[in-house]
Amino acid sequence: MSEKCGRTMICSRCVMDDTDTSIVFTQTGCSNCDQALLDLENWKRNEPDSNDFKEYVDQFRFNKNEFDFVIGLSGGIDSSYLLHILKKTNLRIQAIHVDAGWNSKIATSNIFKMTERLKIPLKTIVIPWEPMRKLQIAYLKSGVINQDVPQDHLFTTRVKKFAAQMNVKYIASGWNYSSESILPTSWSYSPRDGKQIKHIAHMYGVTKNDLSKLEIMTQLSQYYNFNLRKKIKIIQPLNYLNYNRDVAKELLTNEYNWQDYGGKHEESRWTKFYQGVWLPKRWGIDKRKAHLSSQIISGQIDRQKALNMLNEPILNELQSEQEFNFIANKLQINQSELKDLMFASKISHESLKGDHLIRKIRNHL
Amino acid sequence: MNQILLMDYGVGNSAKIKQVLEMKALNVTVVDFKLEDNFQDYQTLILPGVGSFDGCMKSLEASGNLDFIKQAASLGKRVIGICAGAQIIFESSEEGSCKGLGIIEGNVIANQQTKNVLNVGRKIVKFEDSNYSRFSSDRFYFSHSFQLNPVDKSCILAKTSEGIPAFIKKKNIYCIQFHPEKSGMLGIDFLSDLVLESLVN
Amino acid sequence: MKRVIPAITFFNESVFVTLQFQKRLDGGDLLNSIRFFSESDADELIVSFPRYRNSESNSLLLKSVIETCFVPLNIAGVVRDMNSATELFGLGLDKVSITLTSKNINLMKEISSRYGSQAITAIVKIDRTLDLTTTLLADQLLESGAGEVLFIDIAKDGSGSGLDLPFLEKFKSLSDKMPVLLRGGCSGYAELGSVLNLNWIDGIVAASMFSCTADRQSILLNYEREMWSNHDL
Repeated sequence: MSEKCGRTMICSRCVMDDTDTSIVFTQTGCSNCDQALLDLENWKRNEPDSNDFKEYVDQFRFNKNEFDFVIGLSGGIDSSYLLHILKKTNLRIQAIHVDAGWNSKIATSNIFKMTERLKIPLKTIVIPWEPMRKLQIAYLKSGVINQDVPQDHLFTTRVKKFAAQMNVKYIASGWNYSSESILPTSWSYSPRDGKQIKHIAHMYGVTKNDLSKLEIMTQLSQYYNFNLRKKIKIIQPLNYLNYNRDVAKELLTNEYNWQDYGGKHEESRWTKFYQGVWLPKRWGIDKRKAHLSSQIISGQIDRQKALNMLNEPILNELQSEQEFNFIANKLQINQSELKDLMFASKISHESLKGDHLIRKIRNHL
Repeated sequence: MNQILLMDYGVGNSAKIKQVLEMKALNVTVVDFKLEDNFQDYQTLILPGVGSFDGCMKSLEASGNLDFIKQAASLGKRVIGICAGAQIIFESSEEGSCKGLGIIEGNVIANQQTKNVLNVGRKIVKFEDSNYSRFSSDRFYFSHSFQLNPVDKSCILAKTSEGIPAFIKKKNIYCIQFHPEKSGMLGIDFLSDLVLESLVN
Repeated sequence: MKRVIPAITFFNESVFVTLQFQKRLDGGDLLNSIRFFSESDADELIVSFPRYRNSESNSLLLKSVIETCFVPLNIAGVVRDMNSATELFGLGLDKVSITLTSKNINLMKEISSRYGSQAITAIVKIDRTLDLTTTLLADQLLESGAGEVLFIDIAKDGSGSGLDLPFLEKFKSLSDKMPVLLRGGCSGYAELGSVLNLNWIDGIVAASMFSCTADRQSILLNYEREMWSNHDL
């Protein structure tokens, strides 16, 4: 069911609206929250000290490898809390942090404080900045919607590569139904599609030399190297826990002096710009609707509170301008050029070369 | 029209000051030319300064704006002096032989309270005046060998924990000994609030 | 209040964590590191350019460095004449570090008289083979007009094995003349906390400690004031 809110139609159960161009309003709510409710049946809300969780965790223990899990840390709440929980269960953890040049100071500090305190070995991978900068500019020029692809692709592939090198089968991811069950496909595109990354890089002048420094991987290559050869599995332990972000934040703050950086995923300065300025101004999309809808469906927040939050802009005008200028400065492009890019034609990912067949097969499965 | 003038007379840190004020959405007009005497359409004049007393005075004289600044003071415009810029507001300095602007009665004397004459680093500053007490902190950056010595001690609104004058206010004249543009977020807020105050009134 | 100053070394394309001032770990983008320490409100920041050559692009780089930094900034390895000093101070640089040699003394004097002694940090590189008397050193320092002296223990750079205090104590008496800073081998926050209690030391400069994980195997920028100031470690 939907209701009118200004010129948009909004779901009456969650807060997704027709800025999701593929939304279908149903008797119960909408296509997004209907699916989320089904998915939520997979969420086992155990307490960390429960036997059920202990049993779940034990299956990953005592293999012949040096570590039970590799965890990718971003300094954000999900991966930080996950680290805390898994360490508490005495699992042997190797942490990895991929630095693509956009870490907020708070995120870096959180990683440092937690890994030092918990004495967790940490490997950091610094992505060469010049090639990264050029790839990000290429993505801006391509006009596609998912500007997080370069960053996300590198995070995932580097973490998997590292696990493969360490001969560790399991990667613990902080992905959770609690706050992420909803993300419409019209707002996104898979960062796995290395073929498209290479294509966009080529289209917009990233040299082969620069691109090779980034080590982009096609889906086939990832499948072969990680799934087939090394049998690497991504595990999502937060889906076996009664995970509540606010509770988690408070715990981490008390225990580690962990600091909150603001909105979801603002541990990356790029994502702060992307979700706070680029998506809203260029595409009219407020990604908070997806996060908040997930939380409404999982019972973490009530709908009115979510609506109230959405009434406030993600960033005020001054902050938007500051973030905009920061990005232009860091990418070494003119503010006017960035502005032109912001209002240039919109291009769909599907219309550009990529691993579309593989994507369709995956979606089908 | 509200206007903030930032004097650039060839010594120093005006670039950084402009940058931090613009971060707070305050538009600053950098003055590196001789201002016409009848130019009055502004609220605040910021006088930065780096280096020696004599060096600053000579450069200021060469810029042709010495009298303009004295006039700003007597017209009641808000004048904010920073570091060496604050020192030249006084009559003279033990450091050199030039006469200062003489806008505030008193002189500039060598530091005695610190172990070495050079007072450098982040220091504790407590603002006694309730208007500014929210800025008290230990993050203020000082870098100087000579300190402000006003005749009227009551105009000293803040000192370092060692007793070095940090902030002086005499009517419309404000003297800041530390570098607000290098003292963390509080420093930036302090300077921008001082400027904002003048625009609001 | 004592100063804790992170040091960054930039070799032409990238920041590097060094071992005895040779490149060891690639630390990535220079402006990123500067931004981190700036946002951490570091007491001051020292950026060294060991292979610096004058060029248009390097001038632009220095301008960006100064614009990116909102904490007191000290640049080493760049200023070799009054022109470059004037340009950099005009852009907003706070201090330059210059090695104390007979060749450099005149330049240091000139910069000091124009910009004040606070604008100059005299660098003294520790050489255990040389028998440097502190009186001679004191005379040279006073003549140079420098506002402070920074002792750099090259042999210990990047080692994290602890400052060689027994050796460095030789220079204790200089602290009566000017602030004394030490650099070379600081092992971590615990050592920082204890060394800062020594009253002849005005501050510590540290590089690998603030750019790496504690085991120094990985890059991880850090600057956590609570970990050395007045709390239990």
